[in-house]
Amino acid sequence: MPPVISVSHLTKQYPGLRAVDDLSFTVEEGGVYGFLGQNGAGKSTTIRMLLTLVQPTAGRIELFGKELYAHRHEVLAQVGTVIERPDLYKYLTAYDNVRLMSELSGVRADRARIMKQLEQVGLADRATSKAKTFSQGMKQRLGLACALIHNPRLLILDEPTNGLDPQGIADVRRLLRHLSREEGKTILVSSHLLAEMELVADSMLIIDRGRKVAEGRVQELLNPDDMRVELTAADPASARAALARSTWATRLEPGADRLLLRLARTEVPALNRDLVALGIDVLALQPRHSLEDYFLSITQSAHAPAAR
Amino acid sequence: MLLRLVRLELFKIARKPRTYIAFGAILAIVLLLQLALYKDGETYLRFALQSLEGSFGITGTIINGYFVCFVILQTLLVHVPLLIALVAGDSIAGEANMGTLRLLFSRPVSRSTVLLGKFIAALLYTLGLLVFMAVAALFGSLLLFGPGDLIILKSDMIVILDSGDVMWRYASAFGFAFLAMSTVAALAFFLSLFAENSIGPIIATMAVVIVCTILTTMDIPMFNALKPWLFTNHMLNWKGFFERPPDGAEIARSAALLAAHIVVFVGATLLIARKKDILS
Repeated sequence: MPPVISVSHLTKQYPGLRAVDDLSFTVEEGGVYGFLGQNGAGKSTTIRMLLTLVQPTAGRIELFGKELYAHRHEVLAQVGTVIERPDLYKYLTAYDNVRLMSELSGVRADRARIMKQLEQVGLADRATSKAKTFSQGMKQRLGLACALIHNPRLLILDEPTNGLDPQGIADVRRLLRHLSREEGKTILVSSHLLAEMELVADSMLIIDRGRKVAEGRVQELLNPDDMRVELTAADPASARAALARSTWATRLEPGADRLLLRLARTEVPALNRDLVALGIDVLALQPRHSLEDYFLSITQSAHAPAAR
Repeated sequence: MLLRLVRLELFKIARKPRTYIAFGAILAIVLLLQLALYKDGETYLRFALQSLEGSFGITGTIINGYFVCFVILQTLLVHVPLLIALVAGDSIAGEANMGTLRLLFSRPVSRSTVLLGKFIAALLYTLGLLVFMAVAALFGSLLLFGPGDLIILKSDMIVILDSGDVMWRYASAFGFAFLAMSTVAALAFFLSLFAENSIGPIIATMAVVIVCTILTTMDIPMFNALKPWLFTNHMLNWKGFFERPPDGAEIARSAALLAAHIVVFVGATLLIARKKDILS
C-alpha cells in the first residue's frame, strides 16, 4: 500500500524568504503523525501546500499514491482539515456548518449523520446554536466535526489544541486517539505543545527553518536508554539525602527544587524497588519533558554556530 | 456541483444580517420619497417646471404612480451600487477574514467553480434587490397614486408617454439596471479577491464608481476619449427606454460595454485566483 502522504524535495520560496527548503517525508497509513517545529519553521506553509492552498516552488506531493495536483479532486475528497483555528461560519448554527461542509465535500449527509457527527464531538445538544456563541474549545470541536463529516481517510490538523484549556486539550487528545485507533484514520497534526504531542503521536517529523531535522517513531527518537524521571516524595530533602548515599547517586541531577534522575526506561522498576527499600515515601514517579529536551537539543544544535 | 454551490452561497447570503440592510434601506428611501411626493408633490413640480414655465402650460394631474416611480429610480439607482458592493465585496474578502476561504479552496471543487458559484449568487442577490425595488417603487406607487400618463420633465423638454405604453419601458429599464448593477457587483467581486476584510473592497468599489462618475460628468478634453469606455458612462442609460422612440442602438452599445466589463472583471478574478497563495 502506498504511503498516505509522500513529499519529496518540497520547496516554497517567497521573496526574501525560503519558508520550506527541500523537505521530504512520508506518512504511512494509520496512526498519528506529529509535525513539530518552532513558530515560523514552515509547518503551516507545508500543510497549506498539502491542501493546494499554497503553490510549491519546487518538489512533488503525493497523497494516497497519487500526484496531488493531477488528482486534486479525487485526493482532497479523502482529506479532512482544521487549519490553525477552526474555520467556521459564525453566523450559522453548528448543524448548518457541518451540513455545509458535507455538501462542499461532495457528500449529502442526512440529519442523522450530521447529528451523529456532532454527538461524537460532544455538541449534539448545541446543534441549533450559532457558532459565534461557542467557546474556543467548542469551536475547535465543531471544526473537527466539519472535518470529519465526509469520513476522510486522512485528517490534517494544524495546531488543533490552540487556545484550549486543559480539559479541551484532553478532549481533543481523546478524540484523536479514538479516530486513529478505533476508526483507523491517519492523522497529521502539527503542534507546539510538545508534551501533548508526546502523549498522542506515534511518529513525528521535526522541521527547523523549513528543513527536516529529525523524523521517526517517537519512542526511537526519544531514546528510552536516556530518560529523565522526576521523583515526588513526601519528604524531598530526606529522599535526596538517601539517594545521594545509594547506588543511584551518580544518576541524581543537581538542583534543590526537583528530584530528577537520568536513567534507562528498563531501570525504572529497580529504582522503584530501591526507593521502597530506602524507606522513601514515594508519591509519584514520572518521566519529564523528554520530547521537549530532545526538541530543544536538535533545534538548538541546528542554530549553533559552526565550530572553528 | 455549480448549482449546489450557488444554493449554498444563497443560503449563506440569506443568513447574514448585512444582506437585509440593503432591502431595509431601499424600502425606507422609497417610502420616504412616496410620502414626500404625496404630501408635497406640487412644490416639487413647481421647482421642476421652473425652466419650462415660459414655453408650456400644463393642466391636469402629473403626479401619478408612473411619475413617482421614475423620480424614485432617478434618485435611487445612483445609490444602489453601495448596497450591491456590501454583499459582492464581502463574498471573497469576508471568507478570507473568517478563515473559511482556505476551507472552501481545500475542498474537492475547483477554485473557479467555487468563485463562479459565489458570483452567480451575488448576481441573484442583485436581481432580488432590483425586483424588490421594482415592487416597492412601481407597484407601491401605483397603489398609492394610481396610474396615468407618464410625463418626464427634462431641462429643455417634456416627454409624455401614454399610460398603456409605460409598463414595457419599466420592465426594460429594470432589466438594464440589473446589467448595470451586475457590473458593480463584478467590480466589487474582483476587488474582494485582494482583501482580507470586506470594508476594503466595498470602499474601493465606491471609490472607483465615484471617480469614474466624475470623469464621466466632467467636460475636459483629456478625458473625453476615455468616456465611451467607462462603465459609469453607460450605467444610467436605462433612461433611454423613456425616450420617444428609444435609441435601440445606443442602449445595445451600452449594454454590450457593461457586459464586457462583467466578463473582464470576473475573468480576471478567476484567472488570478487559480494561482493565488491563500495565506489568510
